[in-house]
Amino acid sequence: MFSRILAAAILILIPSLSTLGNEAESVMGGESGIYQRLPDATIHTTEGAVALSTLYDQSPLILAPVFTRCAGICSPFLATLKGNLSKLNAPADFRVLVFSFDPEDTPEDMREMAQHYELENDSQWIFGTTDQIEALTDALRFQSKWNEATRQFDHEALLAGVNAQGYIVLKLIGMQSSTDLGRLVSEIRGGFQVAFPLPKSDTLFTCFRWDPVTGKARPSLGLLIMAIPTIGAGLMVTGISAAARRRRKRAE
Amino acid sequence: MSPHTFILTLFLILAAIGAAFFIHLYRVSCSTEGPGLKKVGAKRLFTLVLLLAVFLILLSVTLPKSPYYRFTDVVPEKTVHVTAMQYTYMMSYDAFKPDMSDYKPPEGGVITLPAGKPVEFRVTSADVNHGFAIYNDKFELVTQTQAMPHYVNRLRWQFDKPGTYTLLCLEFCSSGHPAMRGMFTVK
Amino acid sequence: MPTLAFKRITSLWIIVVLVLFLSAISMGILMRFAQGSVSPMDPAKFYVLMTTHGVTMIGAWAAASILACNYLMARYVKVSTGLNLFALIGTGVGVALLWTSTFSGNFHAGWTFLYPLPFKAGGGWQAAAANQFLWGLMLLSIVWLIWCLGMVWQILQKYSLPQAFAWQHLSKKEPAVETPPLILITMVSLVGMIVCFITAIILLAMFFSESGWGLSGKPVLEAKLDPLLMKNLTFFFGHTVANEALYLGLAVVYELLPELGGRPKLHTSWYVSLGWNCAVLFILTAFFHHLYMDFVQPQGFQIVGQVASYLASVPSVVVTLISLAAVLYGRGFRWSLPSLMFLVGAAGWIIGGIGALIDATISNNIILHNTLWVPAHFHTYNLMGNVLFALGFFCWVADDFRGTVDPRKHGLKLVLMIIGGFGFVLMFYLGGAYSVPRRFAFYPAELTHAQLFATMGAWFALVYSLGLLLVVLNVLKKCFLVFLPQRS
Ligand code: HEM
Ligand SMILES: [Cu+2]
Repeated sequence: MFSRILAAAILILIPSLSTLGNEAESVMGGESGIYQRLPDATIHTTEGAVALSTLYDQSPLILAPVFTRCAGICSPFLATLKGNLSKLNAPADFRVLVFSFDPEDTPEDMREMAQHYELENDSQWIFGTTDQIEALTDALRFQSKWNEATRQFDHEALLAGVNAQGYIVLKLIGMQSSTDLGRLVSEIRGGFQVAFPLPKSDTLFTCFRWDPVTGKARPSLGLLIMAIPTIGAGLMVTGISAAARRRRKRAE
Repeated sequence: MSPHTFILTLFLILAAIGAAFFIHLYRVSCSTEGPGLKKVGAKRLFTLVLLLAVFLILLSVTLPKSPYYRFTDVVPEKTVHVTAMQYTYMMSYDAFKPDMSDYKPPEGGVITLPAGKPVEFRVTSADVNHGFAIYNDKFELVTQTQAMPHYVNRLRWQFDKPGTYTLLCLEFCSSGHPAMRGMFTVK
Repeated sequence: MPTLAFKRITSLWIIVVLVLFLSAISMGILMRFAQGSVSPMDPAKFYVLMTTHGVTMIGAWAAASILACNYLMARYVKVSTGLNLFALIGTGVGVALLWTSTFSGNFHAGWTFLYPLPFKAGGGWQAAAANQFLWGLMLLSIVWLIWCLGMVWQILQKYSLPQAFAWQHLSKKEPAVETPPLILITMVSLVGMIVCFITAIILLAMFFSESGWGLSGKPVLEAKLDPLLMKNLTFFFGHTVANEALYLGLAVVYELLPELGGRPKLHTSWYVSLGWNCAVLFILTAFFHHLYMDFVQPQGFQIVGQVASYLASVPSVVVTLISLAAVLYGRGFRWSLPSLMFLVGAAGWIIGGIGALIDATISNNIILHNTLWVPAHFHTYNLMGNVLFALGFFCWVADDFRGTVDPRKHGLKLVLMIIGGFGFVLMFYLGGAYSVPRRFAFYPAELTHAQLFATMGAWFALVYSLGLLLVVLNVLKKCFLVFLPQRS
């Protein structure tokens, strides 16, 4: 009985334990630039230009820097974001601004990208470019580097949460689980998460090293370890009880 | 009354009641008069109901005051990033890596926070578990959180009194533990 | 009736526990004087003493409580001398490993050895010393796990599993088989102990995965462990072992107190059964209160921690206190030293529990966590609770070996222990309430009151030790007598 109740208690842990993992050396990148106000950059979409401040005045934002030529992380990253967002089922009172940090991208390129994910008619998503790439990526402390050999940007996968006052309140680096995304959404909508894990060491992806499977098996391990003692004790005691009963029977 | 004195007084009163109960028990146990404890079942039920009621009230009063639920709906005026390590605190207004490669010390060398405004500390550790306990100028413990490697704890607080605040480590971190200190000022 | 061999192994155990106790007390007094700057000490040396003191005290009194229950169990079931001898030898080796790792290996990461501190000594100790300490604990955990499983086996030879938990009392007023309170409480506490020793074994194995099984320090896994998970496991183990020991002590009180005062035995009823079954459940989840200041711990757990900490006190107070009152009230109870120790122990247990509940309230914990309030409350229910339960048993059993009874109260000795003990913990409470950190080898100059409290605490502890010594010498003498050839 004990083990069942403890197991139930531990089940509450699943979402939170999903962050229990192993990492060698953590990077605090996830924290930099927090509570800084964003510069009021102009965003260009195929429908025209709009000031960033107008956007966050209307609703909190999640910023996702990408580039359309990307052969690696950007595509699975956006697909995961779309999937997780619909999984979350959160109220749609915030928007996702996918902007390009590649000066060669045009608003049309971005619209094609939106079409590719079937998001061009979704009012929660905005795909655009900006003429103040440097100001914006600096404010976000977004890490990227042009790699001449691969003719690609090596860059991190970043989601930055911006609240309705234009402050960056939380950043997520790397491929996100829906739990992490939930944290981000809650934070930009005015919630407060009292703690968070540091991003893992392999978060600074080059576009080709990404392995979507890693990290997924961790939570069950942590969970199991917390539950083993109680389950183990239960098994041992019932085992002893069975053996003792057999012995008593034989004696009678 | 400061919360410190309140807690001590509360404890001493409750402990005295406890002690009185046992002294009373000792005294009545020696006498042979009377039929012993009567209506034991009723007394047990009464104690049970009383305890549960007291606990229910205490839970509903104290749980909302837990640090996780305070200052949740504000945008802090300042954030301070803290990395604890054997045996000091590195603090900056900007985030930095645990290896300190991009650490920028605050201007003037001392973290200065505004009085009367909410602020946030983002506390982590570069090596072992440490504490991050804030003492006021009378050396009373004001608030605290733990510094755990791989995690960031966000401690929000509002300092109403300007002055110098001292940081002490409240998680044992080997022999330099009692000497581990930090400080900041509130203006 | 216990056999002569069983009596001898019991007295051997008692001698070992008392010698460990006395030496650990001297370490405690040295520490307190050092904190008072009466005899300042190099911090590394202080922490060697603190680590040894903590692990020795917790171990000695957990073992004493297990032992006491096993001796009394002999009234109802068949017990085994060999099992206790095995446990004693295993414990001896374990303690030798622990003490040499601290005293000669200089290991001093505290008895809770919070990951990753054992591996980050900063030159304070060698990796081999840390591994030796962990192996000492591993050995103790395995030996004591077997010890507890063996006792469960002994109980289950006579009682079925539901009977051992006294479940038949829940539905029937007078069931065919009565489970004595001693068996019920011992059984539920043993299960708790088993859980916590398995936890310890897993925790230590995880340490070894990083440090290597041998003393070479070569890791088994490349990966690093998660500090949050390790902290949860550490306190699951540490908190549970201390609490189950206390419960085993209470089992002794249930069994012996009425008998010592010439009252009829206590019986198991539905509420005794229900209360104790619940108590163990709550104790297994209350450990979360050690992590309140780790904001990364899921908040559901923090709340479970506070609720379970509160609830854990309900069965004990409602069932045990009222039962005690019913035994004692106005019935011409005949007091002697052991029963008085049980009474004072119950008081210490309750008062320490009050201190614990105040600290287990999250909004208080923010100014009490890891201040001297923590040693204050656990010393109250250990030193003035668990120790007195077990010591009362020692005093009684030393006479029981020869079938005699000492009817005297030895009031003066007890008064010394009461004044000394409560004075000693009061100094901890005062320090804790006024923000003095725990585990400080010396205090910052600004904490002016801290040194005074420390010095006074040390003197009170000396008073306690004086009373204790008078009691213990008597017990030791009687224990040695058991080894002389017995007249039959
Ligand atoms: C008169 C007897 C005792 C004295 C003088 C004494 C003294 C001390 C002192 C000075 C400390 C360090 C406090 C600090 O954190 O600053 C301490 C810690 C401790 N004591 Fe005792 N103590 C006594 C009895 C006991 C008993 C009976 C137990 C348990 C059954 C116990 C268990 C512990 C534990 C577990 C610690 C914590 C060690 C650590 O932090 O790693 N003590 N004691
Ligand atoms: Cu520290």
